[in-house]
Amino acid sequence: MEPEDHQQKSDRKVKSDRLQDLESKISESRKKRQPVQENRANASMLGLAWRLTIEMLVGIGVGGYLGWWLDRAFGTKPIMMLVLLMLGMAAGLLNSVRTVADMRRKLDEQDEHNLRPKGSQDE
Amino acid sequence: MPGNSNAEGGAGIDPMHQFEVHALFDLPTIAGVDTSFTNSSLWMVIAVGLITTFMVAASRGTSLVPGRMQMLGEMAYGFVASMVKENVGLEGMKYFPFVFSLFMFILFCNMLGMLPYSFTVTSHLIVTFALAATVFCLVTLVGFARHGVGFLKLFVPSGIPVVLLPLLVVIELISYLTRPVSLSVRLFGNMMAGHTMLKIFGGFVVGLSSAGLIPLAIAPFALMVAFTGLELLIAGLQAYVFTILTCIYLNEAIHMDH
Repeated sequence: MEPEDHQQKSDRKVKSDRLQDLESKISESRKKRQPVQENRANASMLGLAWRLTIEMLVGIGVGGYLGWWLDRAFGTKPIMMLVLLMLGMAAGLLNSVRTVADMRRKLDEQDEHNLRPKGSQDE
Repeated sequence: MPGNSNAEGGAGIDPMHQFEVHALFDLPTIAGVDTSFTNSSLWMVIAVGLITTFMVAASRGTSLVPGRMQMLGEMAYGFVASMVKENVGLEGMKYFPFVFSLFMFILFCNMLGMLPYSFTVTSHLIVTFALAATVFCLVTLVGFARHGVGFLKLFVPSGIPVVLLPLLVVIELISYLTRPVSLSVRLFGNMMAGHTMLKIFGGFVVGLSSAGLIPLAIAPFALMVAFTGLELLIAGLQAYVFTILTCIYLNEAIHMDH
């Protein structure tokens, strides 16, 4: 009986050693894969920069156009255009702030998903 | 449009030539609108024809175990359907046919534009603006149809002192009006910038190699290969962005939550 028991114990020990090995290997390869994720984050940052630029320019453009049109309709030459240019800038800024807030929320959700403790249910 | 240079003597390549619209055959002007069939119309017709062929081939002879075409069709359907369900909810599936057509049309136009000697329909602001204006009108109509005058509450931010309200309502209104413009400018800008860049690098390659400096032409050629890949990515991504923003706007019109 005794020798068999001993055998089992050492078996278990080997097993746990191998499990630990595997664990460290996995975490190592995870670290290696991190740069890829960073690259993707950079690419989406570039897209965000594009979007914000367009958002702000378009705000000014639409404001200016509306002002010009109202001026022509009411004959109030420079006033409406000046006012609406300002409001257009504000609208553009509002839009870009909303875009960033949306982006932030999405990134936070992603982080939460990624940072979930290992070994919980789905892994 | 990689490499399809209309070389007018080496360096004299015009990167904007690819965006020229010209009539293929003339049709009469009706009520001040020139109805001539242009190269732009031709590529739109090709895109619609290809989409129809694709969907018909995908849905013909459907079986429980899908074949290749059916698989592709189901993937396209599933992709857009999940996008609509996630962003608008199940009520949004009413508008699925519209969103799906929009996505497929933009995707096919973008992708066809990547073929040499083709014409990129979506690199013209008026085309993308027509698409965005359609979305804008639809969203506004849906909003008013579902909420009546209550839809105007969208322009009244909550929790704001009354003094500031008139100013903010005007700003919200302008911000709402900028939607179709930013939607169309984004797609148009991405497509035009990318294709111009491809053409310029293509011009470098042709110019340098026709001047006998082939070793020097390797660097711009390598860049062009990379940019072509990037352009393919952008072509897909911009179709996706256009569609998802449509979904987000629809969601706002249906549920009115900011």
